[in-house]
Amino acid sequence: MSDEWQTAPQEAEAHQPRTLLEVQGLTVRFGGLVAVADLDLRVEEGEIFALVGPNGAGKTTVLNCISGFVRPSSGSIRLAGQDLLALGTERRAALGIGRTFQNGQLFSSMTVLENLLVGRHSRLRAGLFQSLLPIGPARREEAAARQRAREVLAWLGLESYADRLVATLPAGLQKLVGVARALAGEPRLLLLDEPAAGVPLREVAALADQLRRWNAELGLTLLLIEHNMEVVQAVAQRICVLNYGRKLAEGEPATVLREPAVLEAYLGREEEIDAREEGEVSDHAAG
Amino acid sequence: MAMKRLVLPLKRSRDSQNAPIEATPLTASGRPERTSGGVRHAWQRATASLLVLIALVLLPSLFDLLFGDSADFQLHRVTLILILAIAALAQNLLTGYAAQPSLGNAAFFGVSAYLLAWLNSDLQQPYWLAVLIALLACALLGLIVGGPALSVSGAHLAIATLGLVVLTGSLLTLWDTSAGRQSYELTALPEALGDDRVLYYLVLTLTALVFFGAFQLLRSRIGRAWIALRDSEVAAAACGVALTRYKLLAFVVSAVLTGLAGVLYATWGTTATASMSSVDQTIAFLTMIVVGGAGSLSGSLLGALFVGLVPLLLGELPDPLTLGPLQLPIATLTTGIYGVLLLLALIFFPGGLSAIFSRGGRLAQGEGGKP
Repeated sequence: MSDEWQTAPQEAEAHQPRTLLEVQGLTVRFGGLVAVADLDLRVEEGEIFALVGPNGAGKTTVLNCISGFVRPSSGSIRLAGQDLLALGTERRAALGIGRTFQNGQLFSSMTVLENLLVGRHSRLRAGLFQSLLPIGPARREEAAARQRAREVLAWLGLESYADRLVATLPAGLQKLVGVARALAGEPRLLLLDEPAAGVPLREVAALADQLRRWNAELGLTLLLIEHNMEVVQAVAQRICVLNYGRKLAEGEPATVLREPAVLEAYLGREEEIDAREEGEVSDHAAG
Repeated sequence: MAMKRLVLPLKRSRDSQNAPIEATPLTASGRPERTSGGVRHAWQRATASLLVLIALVLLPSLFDLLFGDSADFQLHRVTLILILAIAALAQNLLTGYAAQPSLGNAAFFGVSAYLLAWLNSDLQQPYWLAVLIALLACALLGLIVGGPALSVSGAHLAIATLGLVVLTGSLLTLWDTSAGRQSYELTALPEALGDDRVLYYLVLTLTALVFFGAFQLLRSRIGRAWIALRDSEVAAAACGVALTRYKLLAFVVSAVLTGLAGVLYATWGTTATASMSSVDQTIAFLTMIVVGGAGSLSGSLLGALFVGLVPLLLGELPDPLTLGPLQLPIATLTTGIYGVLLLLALIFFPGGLSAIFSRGGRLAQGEGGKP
């Protein structure tokens, strides 16, 4: 079943691991506030990379810079060597950057299948005049896209929900539809904004299994922001800890999460963290 | 086939907090309920559309039976409703689907009518060539105006485009005044279009084609992109939808369709008037989609029917209507009634007539209504 729907992970495995996403000297200022300061990141093709840190550390801002929602003050972002900063969000999506949102941002008036079809938008070509006709290339392309979207749904175990309106689904399923929508575009890099947020504790382990499965079976590179350290430790091959927009530590989760500076960032300043939390949520909720 | 037993970690069940750590298996036997978008629903809609079309094709014969000698006169009135339906659809694609609160369509409505009048009556160009040029001009004008207009959003867009309507109306009035006329008469129309039946079937054909095209478009990547940017602009962009490009496309498509309604309206009334580009006209367009149902094709038709019937009914009254000391011009009364309808619809049934009908349909099938 899964072999019907796979991008080309084998090719990637045959080569030496190479850098898919390269962030250099990324700095973002909002007025006087420095949200991200001189950040360097390297995400290798095929790995699971987690960006962690206290609230307000600038994680979502980094993700928004990669997606193209936030224009950095300086620095560079490259995907497989190609400069992203000159491109709009939609061009980056076409290059293979998929994205989920912490608050879903699903197309709520559409069915699950239609959400996935929008997710495939940049892979479809039909123009205005072709789209007016009941037959022809646009309809053939449409039929193929529907078939593909159903395969993605089947792979995620969502096929029976294809024709349901998204708004009628429970929150947990909506989260999964958000992932399905991103996967329908067959991305090379999937950005996940807090996949475990709102997931009941007892289901977190299963979520981690899912993340590993997407990574392994699709050869998909995952860059996730996550607060839940259980998930991070279970899935991430490498992590980067941010604090006040600066890189605190980077490396394997087991090592990094024991470093004193990291422990202090998480345990030592809870009051400040709480105070900054509101700011980040309201700043970035809208992207 | 290991996938068949795929577990969904995200399935919630609030009432079993103490359950062991085990996700709920969800297979095809999970039996989710069906809702809209299902195959049966699509067939119902196709059948309903076909029935409406057949009824409209047979309408002239029915009118012969009902009205006898005045059948053609009555048919002429129905033609107006079909023309308005095109304008309603144009506004609905732009506002109900692509979520751009533009009030500028009345500008294109007037400009295309005046261009037709000028090219056809004064420059003696063939009718269809004049129509084609008028539509192309609307597309071009939409492109020129749409770019800057769409760089602002929400209320700013509404105000800017309303300004466009007022400006266009003034310019058209200026043209009329300097040419020394009250309105622009179409004196060189093809003779065949003087026949009410021919005009009816021409307008019916065009309206049917436009609605069918819109139906197809809304089921293509383009229509979905419009709906997507209505539901969530950030997510649409993240999916690869070029926001500015698709907003502009909606603006231009809407301008061309409004232009088509404009030339047909001028043909229907054999005259173009500056009031076609007025705030009153804008309110009529808005009323059609709000009362009919924003984001609904059948709503565009229902809205046009509703809005088209008001002046027909009021046309039976003396103009101006005398109520004690008040002298009410019928045109003012019409706009006043639209205003009241607009308010009532927004407050009491935001989904418009189409939502009321489809809710009624669902209730009848025992599926329960979801507003």
